[in-house]
Amino acid sequence: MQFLFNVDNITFAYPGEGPCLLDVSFNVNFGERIAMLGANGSGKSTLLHLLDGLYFPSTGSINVMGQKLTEESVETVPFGPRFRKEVGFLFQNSDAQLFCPTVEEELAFAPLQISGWSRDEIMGRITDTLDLLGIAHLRDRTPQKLSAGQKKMVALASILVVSPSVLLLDEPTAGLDPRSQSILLDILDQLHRAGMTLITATHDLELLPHLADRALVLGEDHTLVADGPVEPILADTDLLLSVNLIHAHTHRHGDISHTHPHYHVIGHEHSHNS
Amino acid sequence: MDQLPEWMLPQSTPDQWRTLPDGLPQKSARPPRRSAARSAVREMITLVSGMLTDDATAARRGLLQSIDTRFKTLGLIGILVASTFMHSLVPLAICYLMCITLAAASRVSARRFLGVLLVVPFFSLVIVLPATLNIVTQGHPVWTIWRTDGMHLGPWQLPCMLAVTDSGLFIASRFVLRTAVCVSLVVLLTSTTRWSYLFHGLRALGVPQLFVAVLNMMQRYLDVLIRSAEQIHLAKISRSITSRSTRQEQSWVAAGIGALFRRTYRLSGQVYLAMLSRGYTGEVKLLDSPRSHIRDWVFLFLAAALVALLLRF
Repeated sequence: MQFLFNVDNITFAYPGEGPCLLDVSFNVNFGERIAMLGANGSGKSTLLHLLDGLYFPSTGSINVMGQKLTEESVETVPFGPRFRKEVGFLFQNSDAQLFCPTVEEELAFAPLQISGWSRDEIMGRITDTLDLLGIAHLRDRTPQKLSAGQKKMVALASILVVSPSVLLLDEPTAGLDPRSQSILLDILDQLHRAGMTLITATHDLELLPHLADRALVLGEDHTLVADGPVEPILADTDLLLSVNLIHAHTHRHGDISHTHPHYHVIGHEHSHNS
Repeated sequence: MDQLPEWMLPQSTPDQWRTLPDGLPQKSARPPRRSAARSAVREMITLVSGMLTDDATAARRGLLQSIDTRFKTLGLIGILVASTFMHSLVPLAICYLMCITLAAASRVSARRFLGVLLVVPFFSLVIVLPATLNIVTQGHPVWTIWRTDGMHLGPWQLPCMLAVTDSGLFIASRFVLRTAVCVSLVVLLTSTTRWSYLFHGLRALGVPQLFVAVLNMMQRYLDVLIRSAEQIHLAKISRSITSRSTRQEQSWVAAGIGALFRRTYRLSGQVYLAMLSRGYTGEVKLLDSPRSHIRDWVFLFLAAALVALLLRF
């Protein structure tokens, strides 16, 4: 069986620093919806950078569709251009991702590199993408002057405009207002149902069921401590406590004080009568 | 909520992935190669960021770390200033050897110090290379590169030969050695002293508050700026589907610099306001007030004696 990503026993360390990822192995199938969970500094963002061929493992290997991902291979034609078109990466810091003078130029940056696309096609894609994300009114604005939530949506638009097959999302909902968050989750849901592979780094357990079907849990020791369906992982309080995703919480009800694990998965009740 | 446009539907099956879409190159115009620019950017970021944020060397037990910052700053900067007045190679070579000895005695990372020892002389040599030629520095030729035999270049008659002269070599050697000494002294000072103590030391030596405040801000902000630049660079690589022309790359660099400047301007204002809100007045405050010891006076005396001795050459 051909995996989309085959991550085999990788270790990674930034120069002069201790390991950031240690002996991490997992596979990703086409069309999967995966969340990477872990406390701050556990290596989630670094792992996404590795999957996007921006950093490369110190030891071990990453294969994409059977092709080893190396500094040389991402520069090789046709694999490199194909990889860059098909794998989109939404950075945690949208500021880093926006470097063009206007939103329109920002969205045109990647399509302009595909020689087969006419100007009309590119402009059509830009219009469709801006409409889809509800940010058509920002088309002529300077990205740097937008709010944090708007920047995030523009950054996402700049990736979706080339119709990637894989989206790597680093804390996609951080800093978004409720409406933008809802739009984003709806779009991700539609993309997933259309067959897109989604890999999301997050520590937001509340949104986890909306973002993923499978979870990879990174421990504070930078190893992969769990890999499985979302529901059992969310139910495993000991695991979540051990990786610092939930914490023991003490509070009082009148004169009674008690302690229980505290995490932010919110349940809600509603009737189905209407 | 709008439906996804048809074109946005992903090609997520293995078979679709294998089919190359229109518009992407089928074969490369040049053989694949490791990006030298990318490696250089990464190395530079690691080096500068390490220099700005790594206090590990300053925290080690070593010779220069044990000297009070004010005395160390005065001593090392005194030697640095004196080296610019040295005209003979011998005292400069002695200074250079002294820097290497001090680095070893202060347990400065060999990687960082060797980087300076090798890179700085190389670049200064490249800069000063033309000065070794007889067309710049007159002197006795020691290596003839090209005999022109009185050739003319338009209305101008060329000198009879192009050669490296003894005077040119002497000037180049002195320049390279002097640069290496100066940079080594600065690396010794900055790597064996915590930044806050260094700024405090500069204030204690009478450097104006505004100057020290600017240095202080620069040190705090430069690492953020470098990380920002790296992220912009990575984000651009992530969206670079095909290799682009030099002209397109140049326009991207210009746009990147513009974006970075806007961010810098805004963030530096925020950093300064955050410092003000926590009581910053421009003065550097330390947890431990520095106190001088006999060893500090001995160090200063030895530095002054060395300067006096070397300037007599």
